[in-house]
Amino acid sequence: MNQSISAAEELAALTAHDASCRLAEGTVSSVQLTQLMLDRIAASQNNAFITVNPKALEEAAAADARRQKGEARGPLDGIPMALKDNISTQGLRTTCASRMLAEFVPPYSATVARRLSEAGCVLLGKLNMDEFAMGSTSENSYFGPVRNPRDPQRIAGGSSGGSAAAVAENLAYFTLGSDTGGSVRQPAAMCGVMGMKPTYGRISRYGVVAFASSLDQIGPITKDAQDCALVLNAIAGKDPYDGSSLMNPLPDYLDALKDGAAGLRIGIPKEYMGEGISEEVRMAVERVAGLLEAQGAIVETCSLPRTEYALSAYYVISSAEACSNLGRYDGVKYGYRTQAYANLAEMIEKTRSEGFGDEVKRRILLGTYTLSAGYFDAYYKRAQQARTLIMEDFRKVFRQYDVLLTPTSPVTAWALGQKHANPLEIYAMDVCTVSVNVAGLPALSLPCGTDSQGLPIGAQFIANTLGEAVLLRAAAAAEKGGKA
Amino acid sequence: MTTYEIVVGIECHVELKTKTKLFCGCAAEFSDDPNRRVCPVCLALPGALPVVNRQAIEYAVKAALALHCEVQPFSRFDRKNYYYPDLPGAYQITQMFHPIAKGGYVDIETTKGSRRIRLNRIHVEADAGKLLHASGGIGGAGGTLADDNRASTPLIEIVSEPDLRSAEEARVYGEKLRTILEYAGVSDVKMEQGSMRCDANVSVRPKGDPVLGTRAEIKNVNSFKALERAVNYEADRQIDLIEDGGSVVQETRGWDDEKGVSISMRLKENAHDYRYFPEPDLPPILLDPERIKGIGLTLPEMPEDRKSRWIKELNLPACDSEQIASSRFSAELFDRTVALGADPKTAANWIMGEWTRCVRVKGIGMETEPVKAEHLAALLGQVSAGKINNKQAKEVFEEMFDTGEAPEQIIQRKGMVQVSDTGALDAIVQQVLADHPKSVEDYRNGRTQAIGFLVGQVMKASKGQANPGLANQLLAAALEAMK
Amino acid sequence: MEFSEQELADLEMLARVELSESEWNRCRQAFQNVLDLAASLQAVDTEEVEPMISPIHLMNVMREDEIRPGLEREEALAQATETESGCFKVPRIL
Repeated sequence: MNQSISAAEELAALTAHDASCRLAEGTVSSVQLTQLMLDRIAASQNNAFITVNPKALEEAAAADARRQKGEARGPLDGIPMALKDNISTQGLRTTCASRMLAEFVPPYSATVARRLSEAGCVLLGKLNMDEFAMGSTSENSYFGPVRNPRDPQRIAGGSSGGSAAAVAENLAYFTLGSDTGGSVRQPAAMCGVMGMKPTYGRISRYGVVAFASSLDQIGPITKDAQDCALVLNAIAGKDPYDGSSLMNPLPDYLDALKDGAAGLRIGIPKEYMGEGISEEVRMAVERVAGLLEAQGAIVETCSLPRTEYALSAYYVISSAEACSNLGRYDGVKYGYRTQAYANLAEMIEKTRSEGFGDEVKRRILLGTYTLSAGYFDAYYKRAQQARTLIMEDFRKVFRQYDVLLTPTSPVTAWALGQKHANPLEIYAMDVCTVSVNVAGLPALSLPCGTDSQGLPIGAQFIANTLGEAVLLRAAAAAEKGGKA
Repeated sequence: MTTYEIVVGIECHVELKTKTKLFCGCAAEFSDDPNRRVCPVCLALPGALPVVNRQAIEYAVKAALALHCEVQPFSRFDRKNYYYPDLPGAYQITQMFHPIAKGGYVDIETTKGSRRIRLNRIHVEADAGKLLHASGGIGGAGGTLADDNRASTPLIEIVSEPDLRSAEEARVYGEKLRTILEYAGVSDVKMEQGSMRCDANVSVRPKGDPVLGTRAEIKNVNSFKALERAVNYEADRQIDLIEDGGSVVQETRGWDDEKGVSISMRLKENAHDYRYFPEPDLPPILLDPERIKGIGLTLPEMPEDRKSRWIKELNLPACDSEQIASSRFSAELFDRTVALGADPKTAANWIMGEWTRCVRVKGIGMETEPVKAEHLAALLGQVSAGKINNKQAKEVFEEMFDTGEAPEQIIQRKGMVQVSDTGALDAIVQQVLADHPKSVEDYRNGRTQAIGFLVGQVMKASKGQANPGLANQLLAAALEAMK
Repeated sequence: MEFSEQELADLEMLARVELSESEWNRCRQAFQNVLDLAASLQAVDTEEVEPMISPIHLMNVMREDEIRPGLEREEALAQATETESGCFKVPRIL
C-alpha cells in the first residue's frame, strides 16, 4: 500500500521531460498520467482549477494511440498540462475568473492553446486567477481564492495563482500563465516553482483575453529549466494572427541549458535590493549569486536609476489599456447580462457594475480618468515617456552585463484575506517585476529555497530583448549549483 | 439687412473595395444575410487581435495621390472609445494623431466659376456594423438588432477644409470627389449602396466676417442632390435662427429628404470624450517614397488631364469632355473607341447619347462594361462606310448592349443593309411622290419642311434601309423637277 | 484630489461602470492613492523623450488581402443572451 502511494507520488512529481521519457519507454501511458492528475485535482483543496476538461482522458487516449503507431509528435506528446483561464479554449469554458464570463465558451482557441494541442499535450483544465488578471494574490476571483500548496492559509500569488499552485502541487506537469506586471513570476516564486515571462512579442497573444495590450505576455510555469525550454520550443514564434508578434528566428531553447555559468556577467541592480526587500529574501538572492560565482560567473552591483517610475508608469499604462480592452463586456454578444433594465444604457451599466469585481472596476475607472480629455498628457503620455527612459536604463546596463539578478517578490506569501486599506501596499509588492513588463524584456523566476516558515522564495533573472536563452542558461546553472 | 455667407466642410467615408476586411480575413463584400461574414476579430470576442490588410493601405495611398495629398511616411492607428451597439468592442480603430495623408485638393467648376477646394486629411479606419429595428411583437418593446457583417470594412475618411461656399459647390465637390475615387479604382463609390457617405458641416456668418460661425453636422444624406438640398435648408434654418435673435447650437442633425428638413439627433449629444490613445496592438506604418511612387504609377489618367487632352488634341468641345470624363467608364470607353479609329466627335455623341440612355434606362452598371470599345468602334465604322444608316445603327447598338454580340453578327443576322443604290431608291421616291400629292403641293407652295415627311415615307417604304441623305437628295431633285 | 459628485458621475458614465456608495467609500482612498502614485510621474524630466507605445519596434506588419475562415453564424450567436433573425438583440436604445 505504501509503495503504491509513493509510486503515484513519484510519478506525479516527475518533470515533464522525465514523464516524457517514461512515455517513450512505455513504462507509463498518457491515460495513466492524466488519470493520476485528474484524481489529484479532485482531491486538492487549493482551488487551483476552475474547470476540468471533460475530454482530457479522450485526448490522452489519442496520444497513446499515436505512440502505439509510432507517430508520437515530439517530447510533449501525451503530457498533461493546464492553462490559465484567460487563455481561450474552443468548446471549453473560459471565465477569466469573472462573473462576467462565468459561462462563456469561446468558439475559437488561442494560438498558444492550439500549438500545445498540436504538440500532443493533454488539456487537464483551466486555472484560477485574479479576475481579468488584475491582482497579485489570486484572491480577486469569482470562484474563490487560490490557496498556496505550501500553506493553505496563505495566498498563492497572482494573477496566475492557479497556474503556479497546480505545478507546485503536482496537479499538472506544466502550466501556462500570463504576465502583465509579474503575474507568472511572482506566483511561481510564492509557490516554489519556475516561471518565465518571455520577451514581449515572442509568444502570440491571439486568443489571450487582453488586460494590458502592450504589457501582457504568456509564460510557462514549470518544475525546472529543461521543461521551460521544452514548452517555449512548442509555443514561441511568429503568429500571423497577432500583429505584435516578433518574426525573429527561434533557437532551440534546449541548447542553452548546457552552457554553464562560466563567464556569465551578472549585475544586481541596487534599486532592487533596497529597504522593502525582506532579509531572508535578500539572503536567498545572494546565495544564488554565490552559487553562480562558484561556477565562474562574475557578479557585480549595478544601477537602474529610473526604477522608481516603473510602478507609476505600469499602473497608468495598464489601467488605460485595460479600460479600453474591457469595454467590450456589455452583455450584448456574450457573457453575463443583468436581469432587469428599462433600456440599453441601463442594461450596459448594470451588467458591467454587477459583472465586474471591485478591483476590476477600480482599474477601469482609473484608466478612464487618465485617458480622459485634459489628463492624457499628464498621465498616459508621461507614463509612455517614462517607459522610454526605463528602457534606456536597461539597454545601458545590458552593454556591461548578460543578465540581471533581483528578488522576484520582496516578501514571501502573506495570509489570505489580509486586508490592505491602501492598495498601494499590494501594488508596491510588484516593484521587482513591473519594470520588466514596462520594458518588454524577458525574465524568469527561479525557486531558491524557503524562508524560516517554509515559504518559497524566488530569485529573478532579467535578460535583454530576446534573451530567453541567457535566462535558461543562468537558471540551469543555478539549478545545478543548488543540487551540488 | 445682413448678407450671410454659407461655410461648408464635408467629411466623406468611402468603403475601399478590398476582398477582405481591414483587420481580419472575413469577406468584405456586401451580404444582407446577417452575421455570415464574421470572426472573433470583427466581433471583438475576448482575446481577438487586429492585423492590417495591406491592400487597404495601398488603396488609401492611391486615393491620397489621386487627390494630390501628401502621403505621410509615418502613420499609425489609434483607438476611439465609445459605446454604441453597432460598434463591436466599444472602440473603433482609426487614425487620429498620424493620418496616412494630409493636405490635397479637389478642383470644381460651378455656375459661378472654378474653385480649388482644399482637403485637410485622409485617414484609414474600420467601419462599424449595422443596426436594424427588431420586430415589435405583441405589446413588444421593440429593441435593436445588430448585424456585424459590415464591421471592420476598410474605410477612408476624406475631410475637406471648410472652403465650400454654397450648396451647389457642396454637390459638385461631392460628385467630383466621387469621380476621382472611381478613377483611382479604390471603391465602388455608390452613395445609394452606402459605399460612399457624406456628412456636411454647415455654418453661416455675416459676409466679410473672418470668424467662423458655430457649425452643425448634417448626417444621413443619401445622394449629392440631397446634399445640396440639405445644405440649403440648413443654411436657411441657421440664418432664420440668428435673425430671430437665437444662436446656432453645435450639434448633429439628421437630414430627412422626404420632408426636406434636418432634425436634431439629441441622442449623440452626450459629451463625447473618445479618450483617443495609440493602438498598442498594431505596429506603425512606414511608407518610403519609392513605394508611394510605385503606387502612384498604378493610377490611370485622371479626369482633369483627360479633359485637357481631349480638348487640345481631339478638338472635343469642353462640355462634351466634361460629361464623358465624369465617369471613368465612359472615359475609358471613349479613349479606347477613338484609339481603334473612330472619329472622336461621333464617338462622343454615341457615348453621351445612346450609351448613356441605355445605361440609365436598363439599369445596368457602367462598371460591367455593357458595350466593348471594339464593338462600338466597329459599329461606327459600319456607319461611316455607309453600310448602315444611323437609325439602323441605333437598333444594332441596343442589341449589342443587351447581348454583347458583335455588330457585324447582328447586322448580318437582321439582314440590315443600307440602300444607297440610286436606281432602287429612285423608284421608291417616285412612288412616294405619287402617293402624297398634298405634301408635294405644300412643298411647291413654299413649305419646304414637307420634305421631311416625305423622307420619312421613303424610309418607311424601304423598311428603314434607305440612305436618308440620298433619299433627301433624290426627293429634292424630283420636287424641283416638278416645278 | 477630491472628486465632486459630478466628476465621479461623468467618469462612471464614460466607463459605463457604476459604484454603489459603499463601494465608492471603500474605493475612494485607494483610488486617491493610486492617482497620487501616478502623479509622481510629473517629476520625470520628459523633455524631448519619445513616448513608447509598445516595447517592440516592428513596423508594417500586414496581411495579404486573402479570405481566412471565420465563424459560422450559429457559432457567433451561440453565446448571446438574446438573438433574433440572425442578429444580436439589445433593448431599445432610448
